[in-house]
Amino acid sequence: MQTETSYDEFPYESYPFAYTRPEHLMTIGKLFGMNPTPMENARILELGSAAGGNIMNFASSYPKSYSLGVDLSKIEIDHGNKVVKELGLKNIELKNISITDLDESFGKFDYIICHGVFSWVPDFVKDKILDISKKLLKPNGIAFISYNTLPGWNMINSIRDMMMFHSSIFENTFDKVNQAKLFLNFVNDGLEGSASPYAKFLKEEAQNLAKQEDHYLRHEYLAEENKQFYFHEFIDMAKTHSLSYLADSNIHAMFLGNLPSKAAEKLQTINDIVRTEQYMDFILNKRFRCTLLCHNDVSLNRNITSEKIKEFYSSCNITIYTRK
Amino acid sequence: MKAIFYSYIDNVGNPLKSTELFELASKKLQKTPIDDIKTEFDNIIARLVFGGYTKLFAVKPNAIFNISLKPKVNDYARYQARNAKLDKLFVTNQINELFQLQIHERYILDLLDGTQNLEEIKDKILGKLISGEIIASESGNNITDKIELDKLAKQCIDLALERFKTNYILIG
Repeated sequence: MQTETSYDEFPYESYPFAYTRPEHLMTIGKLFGMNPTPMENARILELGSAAGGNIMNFASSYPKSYSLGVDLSKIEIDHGNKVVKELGLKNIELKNISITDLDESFGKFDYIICHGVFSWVPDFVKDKILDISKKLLKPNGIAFISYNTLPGWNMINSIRDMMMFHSSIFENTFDKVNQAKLFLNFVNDGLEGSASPYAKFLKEEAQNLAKQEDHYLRHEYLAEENKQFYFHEFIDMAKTHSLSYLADSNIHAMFLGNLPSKAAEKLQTINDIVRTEQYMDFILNKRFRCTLLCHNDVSLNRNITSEKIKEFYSSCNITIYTRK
Repeated sequence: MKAIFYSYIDNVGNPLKSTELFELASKKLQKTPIDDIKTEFDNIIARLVFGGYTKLFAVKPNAIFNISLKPKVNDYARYQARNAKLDKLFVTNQINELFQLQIHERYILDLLDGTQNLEEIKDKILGKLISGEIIASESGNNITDKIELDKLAKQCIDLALERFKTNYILIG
């Protein structure tokens, strides 16, 4: 299978992501009126876990919890299992299986995480991810799914198409990546002195991509499969699996107050969270989303008051400058 | 409002319950009634949260905000510190963020297993400085004087522990 080969050939760095951690998902669930499972005995499933770098700290911190990570790459899973063994962790399993191999025999989970997978797998696997998010999710569970979004990717696809075109004549994957990087330099050099909006966009993208690691370029820009969705399209897919939109993992991305006041005033009149956020995506040219889903029979309260916020711990990492 | 912000700043790495925040802010503004502070908080908190300036936590992160006599970090973080490549010298903190280590900090962090006191940790770091496993230099010249190295070891450990404290690394 193409995906299996590519991830073994170009293993992904198995990083942690704060916005996927179960404690964070629990916080957002509680903020919106859910009653998510506390961490101590929580069951976590990560789809596309690579070497487990995103769930290892959780497993190490909560010995009575259980975490299962699955990934198609044998190299990643073997590496993760070596770490698990050396740390003597008994509450985490990393399995070299396909997402499509998962069924209810694996039990139900309080938190399901699927980060950086959905856009990059064939349609039948996308469907399976949503199926798992429904069938393997406990009643108060929360599923995290991230994906590339439109309209942001409409523009990025131009540069991806160019990179794909240029690298297509090279057989070896390493050559493809190296050539794609050289192509980015070519774009940057070729646009020198040009101040058109097109040139500005391409130069910025080329410069940003030049800083990225090879595995990122390989799996994001040179991936055979990279499908993007409008937010409302993704939610429609989730609805067909009886899942509802809970929130964005970055809650500030949901806040109308972050938009210019005229736009915010207009959007405030829409009494539909999905449509509202879709319009926000249009304005902000959103290219990536981290969406939290829950069962469609869970009642949510989107009226967040300061009284509600007072139930939480809070931290604020700011700097105060004093004007002399 | 400033008192609220300064209370937060004093506690970077230590999320607070609102009641704790009010008490701290109240201590800074002794003449201001605590109800005024609460009202100010009510007025700004939603904007801070949804503006992305304030993080909320349903449960306190599994990290401590003081430097104990025998500091401890998560076994996974110690494993990462021991095994990290020099160009990817990071560990996972207790809120699942990447925390970038400086080269000498990897040795300090690896010693934080909760069984060694600060003096023992300092002696081990000093040993590494003397043996050359960690090289200390100033203006391109290696420092070899043992008294200087002893001072440096203590200073490095103090600074590292402070960084670990405010970045959700310490668990005991």
